[in-house]
Amino acid sequence: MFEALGQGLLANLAPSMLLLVLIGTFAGMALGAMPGLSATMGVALLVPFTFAMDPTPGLVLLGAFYMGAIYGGSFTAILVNAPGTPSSIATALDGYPLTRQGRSEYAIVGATMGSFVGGIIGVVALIFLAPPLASFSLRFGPQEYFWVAMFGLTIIASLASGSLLKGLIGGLIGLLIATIGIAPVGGDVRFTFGDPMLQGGVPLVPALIGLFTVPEVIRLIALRTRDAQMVDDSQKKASLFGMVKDILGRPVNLLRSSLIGTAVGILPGAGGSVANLVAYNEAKRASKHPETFGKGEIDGVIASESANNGTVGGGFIPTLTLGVPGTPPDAIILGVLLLHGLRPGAELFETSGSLVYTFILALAVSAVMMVPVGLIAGRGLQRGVMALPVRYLAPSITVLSIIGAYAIRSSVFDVFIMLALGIVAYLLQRVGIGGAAIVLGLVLGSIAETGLVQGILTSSGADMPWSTFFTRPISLILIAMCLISAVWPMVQKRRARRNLTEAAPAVAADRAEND
Amino acid sequence: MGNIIGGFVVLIFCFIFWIQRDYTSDYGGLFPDVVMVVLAALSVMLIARGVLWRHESGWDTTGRLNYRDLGRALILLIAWVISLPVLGYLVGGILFFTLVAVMMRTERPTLKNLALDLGVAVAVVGVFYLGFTQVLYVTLPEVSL
Repeated sequence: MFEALGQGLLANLAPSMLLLVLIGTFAGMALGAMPGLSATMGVALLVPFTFAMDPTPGLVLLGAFYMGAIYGGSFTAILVNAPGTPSSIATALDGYPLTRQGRSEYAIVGATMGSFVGGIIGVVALIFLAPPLASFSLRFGPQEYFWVAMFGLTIIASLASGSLLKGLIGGLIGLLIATIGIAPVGGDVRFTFGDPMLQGGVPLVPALIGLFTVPEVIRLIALRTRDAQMVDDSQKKASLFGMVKDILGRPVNLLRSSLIGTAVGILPGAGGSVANLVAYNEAKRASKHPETFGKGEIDGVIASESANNGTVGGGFIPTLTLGVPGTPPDAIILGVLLLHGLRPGAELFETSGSLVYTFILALAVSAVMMVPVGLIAGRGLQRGVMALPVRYLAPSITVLSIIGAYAIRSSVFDVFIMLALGIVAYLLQRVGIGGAAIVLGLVLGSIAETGLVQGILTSSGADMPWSTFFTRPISLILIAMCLISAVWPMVQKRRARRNLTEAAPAVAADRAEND
Repeated sequence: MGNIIGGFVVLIFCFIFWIQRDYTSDYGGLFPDVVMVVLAALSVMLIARGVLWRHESGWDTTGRLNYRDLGRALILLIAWVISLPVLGYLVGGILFFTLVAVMMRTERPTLKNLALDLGVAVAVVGVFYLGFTQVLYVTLPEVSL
């Protein structure tokens, strides 16, 4: 292994390979930053270009592009509240409030350093833990996937800062919207209101743009230039070195979120769209000041971005060892591997070790390159957006949103869906039901339903098929995690209230003493 | 009042889905039915909360807009999106980009301002159009008058 690793390292240090990784990373970042153009779509678009290349540079280019695309999604999430990819949903929750506070540069630096650490940890896990982790992931059946989705839904307890009841309602609205279209198991055509376009369901990216971006555009246009302030300019700017130092001074969050991303990436079908939300929730749960999340907390951005780049390495663990793609872009890269006659499995690491490790290390090189490229390009983009007058920014976001919603299926109907969901989200926001909980339900809906129905079907021979959801060992661990995750925000709130009541008499006594 | 209105809106949403139920397999309705029942129960709880706790407004007060400005913004956005199949991305984009930019000015628009807004609209929409259609090969809606 170490010999092949050494060969991979040498191959990556060749100038031509470094240039290829740089091009891949930059192109991926640019594409990921466009709402509507997902990492999956970008990797798929790139595949024909790699046909003419040798397997090693072709795979290296695809890997670097994928890593860059996942990171690039953070730019628009932070700057205009439009997650470029579903992996950046949680980035927008705190990134955009930071932008409105005039601290978008800090958020970009946080996203960059988080992505870097997440990317590296994912690759380290891929190198050293691939075979044991891959076989463990195969022990996840439908029941476990159902509980993974339920665990994701417990994040609502954290996201609903105002009212848990309204947060739950938002999450359930998302789950219900996710049931539109053909059922994942059984094939029932449901809730299409007679429109065949809805048979494919509500596409995630137009829904994301609608739920996050359109309410903001409505607000900007309605307030007009007199009140429409994109940012608060009163904030003092910190130096780049100071910002980087501050971000790296949060090793626990960086490490925890990267590990969550890697672990979720290993589970086939989950991917970055789930990982960023789970990591965000855990960061909020572990924080000493959870009330600042959702209002511009850098730890939220770091958690989300570390996790989604962690899924890149994590997702390749089952892809390369079992041939089971962890995420959709992994499936495309798996196809390219097969196209070149490379069969995934333990043998791949032995017979084509040099190629495999060159590819894996290229992911790490790409993560390193994201730092200078991201800091230069990301901050450049940030300054450009900030310099744009709001009367041009609002229609520019609309123009980009229309493309984002349209591009997935080349369908104007998707643009209608985006606008309709955006207006509904704006109105629901007025009564305190936030878009984030709806998105969470939408993302996890099909995972939950597939797990539930398949779990019942696979255990239909048992006396009580339902009981299998509560008796399998991994399910039990996941149930315990769900309970802890759901109850923890309430415990935290109660503890904070108790601290406040205990502190009040002490402060009063201090004041009396001073008087 | 916000809780009561919000609760009723969600109940109507559930009702619209409920009357659409038409399952052909045994398990097709398992998940959505559970979601609908729980959602309806929670919206009833929200209404009850609005009725019982009158002191809680239930409205989210951040960034509140007046109805005239909100209506104008919604009409512009809806018109922009609805006109997309007819005007296409390029023509519709330039037209509505300019309209939004002009509308967002607080001073009376002059010919010079109008020309500036139109110029910016042509540049922004044009760059996106060319970038997506010529570089990324993403087809965008074309004008079909």
